[in-house]
Amino acid sequence: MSPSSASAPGVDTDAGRRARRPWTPRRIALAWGAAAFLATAALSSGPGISREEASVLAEAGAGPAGAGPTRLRPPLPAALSRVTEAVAVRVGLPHLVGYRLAPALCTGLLAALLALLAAAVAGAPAAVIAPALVLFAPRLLHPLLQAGPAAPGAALAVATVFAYRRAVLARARAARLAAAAAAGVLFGLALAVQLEALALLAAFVLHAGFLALRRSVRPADPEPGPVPGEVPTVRPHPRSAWTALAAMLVLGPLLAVALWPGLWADPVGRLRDALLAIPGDAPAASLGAPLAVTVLALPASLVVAFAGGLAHALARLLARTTDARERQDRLLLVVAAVAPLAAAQAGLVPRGPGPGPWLASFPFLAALAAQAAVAAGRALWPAHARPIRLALAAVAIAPGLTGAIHAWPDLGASWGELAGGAPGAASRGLPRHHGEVSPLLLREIAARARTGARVRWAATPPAALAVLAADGRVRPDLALAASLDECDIAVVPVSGGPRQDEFQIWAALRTRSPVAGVFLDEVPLAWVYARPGAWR
Amino acid sequence: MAPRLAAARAVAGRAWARRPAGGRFAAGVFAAAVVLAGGMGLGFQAALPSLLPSRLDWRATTALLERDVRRGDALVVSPAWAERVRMIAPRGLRVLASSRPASDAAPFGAAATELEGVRRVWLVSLSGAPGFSWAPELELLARSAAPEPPLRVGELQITRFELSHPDLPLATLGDAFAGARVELGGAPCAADGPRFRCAASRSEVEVESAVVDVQGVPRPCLLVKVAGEAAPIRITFPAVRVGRSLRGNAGLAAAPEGDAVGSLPLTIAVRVAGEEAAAVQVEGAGWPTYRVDTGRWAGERHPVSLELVAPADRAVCLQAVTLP
Repeated sequence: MSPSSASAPGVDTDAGRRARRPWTPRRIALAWGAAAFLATAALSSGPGISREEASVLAEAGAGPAGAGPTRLRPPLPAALSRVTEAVAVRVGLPHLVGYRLAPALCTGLLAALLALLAAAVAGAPAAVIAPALVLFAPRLLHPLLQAGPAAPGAALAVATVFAYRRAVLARARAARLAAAAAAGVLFGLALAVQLEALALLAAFVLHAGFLALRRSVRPADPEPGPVPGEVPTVRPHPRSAWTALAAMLVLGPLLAVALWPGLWADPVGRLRDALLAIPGDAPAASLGAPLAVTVLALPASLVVAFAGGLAHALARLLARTTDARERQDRLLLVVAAVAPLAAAQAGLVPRGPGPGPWLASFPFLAALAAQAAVAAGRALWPAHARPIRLALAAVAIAPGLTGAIHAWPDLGASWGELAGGAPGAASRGLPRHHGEVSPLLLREIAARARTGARVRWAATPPAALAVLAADGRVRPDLALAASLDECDIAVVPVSGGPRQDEFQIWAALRTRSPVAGVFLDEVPLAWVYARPGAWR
Repeated sequence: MAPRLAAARAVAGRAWARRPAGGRFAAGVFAAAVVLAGGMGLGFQAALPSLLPSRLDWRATTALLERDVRRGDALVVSPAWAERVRMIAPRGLRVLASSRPASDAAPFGAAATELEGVRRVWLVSLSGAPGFSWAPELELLARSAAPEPPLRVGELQITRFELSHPDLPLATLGDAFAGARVELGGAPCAADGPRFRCAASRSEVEVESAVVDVQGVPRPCLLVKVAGEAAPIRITFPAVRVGRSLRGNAGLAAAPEGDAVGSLPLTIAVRVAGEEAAAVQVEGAGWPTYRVDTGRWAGERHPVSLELVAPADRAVCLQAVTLP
């Protein structure tokens, strides 16, 4: 028997069974979810701890007493990290990995949900592409690896959009109400992760309003085809979007308050305080700043893919031949992608050094880009659409992947080629990171600091130091210097902002020459200064 | 020329007429843009290491500087972020560092007063690095005699500039701070280690000699901090060599989370040997300069006082030198 006949019809072999088993969206989502979780968990000990992450770790119980949060914010990210850390430490994993298992789980969930969403709006091929467009960009992967609201916030944003979409498209009343309730619950969870999720509500209001307007102006849109897996019985209810919105408005805040003990005493007052505290003390973003940061921080190929996806969706929205469901889907993805960016422009998200604060935009941009890649493959060469779309996806993600490998573990310091990489970004005065002490520097200090040296960790939060010390990444004999005057070694992150701490260290140690540093493409990210004799 | 243009138009017209249908055309443009951007990204990443100096380049630069550096030399690096140079610069060589990118107005990321006391400048340039600017080179060319041709050390370019009119102060008032007297409203302030502290009914004042971040540049200066209400402060330096003029700068120190918000005005009165030389108004953001004529006392040693009403809840960085 020749090998080719082994999988002939009617012959039951392993190869034959494999050939018949298609890559359904669910299997693709499962594969993406598992791969994303395992990869982010494996990589989680790499990047340094930023100031923002340190405040989450402090809230989760890391660090000395009193190192807790400085502003009122939703408790779920810290609670999740606390749980995963407790479990991880029992099985012998490092503390930092434990805290970061929560975002790793959420990243897995995000990848799976994004694959499902992309499949729902553009078929299984888009499910293969979409998660890669988010996970293989260093500046998008970086917040997903860190403990905090980024990963759960993005995952819950996708889940809420998915549930809302089901509620809008459901034909049976029970299914519609169940999906609306799910959307409400997921929206409540999203609010308990980050208050910026409120932007989603604005997106849904826009979507529902547009649908209502469209129905009143053009009632004769082409009839949508049946939803895969559903028996077409009746048309979707015209007010289904408003049902889902009502569920979100009622269930969302209720659940968020229920999960947030800090609000119980005075829910309205404290919620207002928390909302007002979101932007922090940083100066307001100038017009177009979030968009400019996105364009400069991401690889150009991803920027083009995202812009192409957005343009494709807008073109399809305006086309007369687009059926009602496709129009609904595309509009939903567009408003969900734009809402976090608009919130960032309005100053309603915490300000950070990269696109992390509006990370929730990118899954939707990725879904739109995947949809555009699938459509491009089909339009360019229908007979060979699959290799074309895969090639397009590979070209789009390759610079991000190689950039992440090059910048590792300092992913937060990398910038796209439109900014000129890290050197070009430093020349423009763009921030280098958010106060992280690179793990590479910790290794250097462990190897070369004098025994018993007193170290001054300028601008490094106590919770970050506590976690690093608990994991043995800070040598146990090194003491914490109480003041600048008594330190032997000083570690200074160079984030691109004012360097008053560093200049004081110059005066205290009577030197301006660092003994060690961490660089990304020659751009310094952190320095170590030492008194004579304190550095071997 | 006209027939060629017509032929080109005809070719373009035919190509346009034969363009694929709308969807296919758009798909082609999208695919081409993604491929182009992806290729550009990979190409940039592959090329970047070859544009930046290697460790060997830096080591060779150290050897060169150690051999040729003299007293009164300073080192400028371009772009300003390439601060690895501070790790390799020989001891005693002044490195003019800045955390800000250079601009035409401030080529070293700093004001021209950075070159006080400097006779020769070594410019270490990463001319292939993204974001490189010729501004420091042009500024130094304008201030110097004809430089020697640049020396190429791998990806580093080293040029030595002899300043044609070096700015050599007679005395820097901050250097005499240890022996200074500080008064608040006429009452002397007590020395508390390296600083002076005093309190009046509604103000608390602290004056120290420090290196302070003003607009991203490390400024060695007298740092005056006032808590409570604005207060009149006098700082007197004994036996200063006085020249024809006194030049100084003042600016607001950066807050830990960002640049100082707002700008001065600040009135500074300069007294020499107990007589008022002049009172000047220092205005503007950044690091504005003031200058006072002290020609009457030129060539003599006298006590020099700076009097100012420091704004409340701000940290003012104050610098002054006497010039021949």
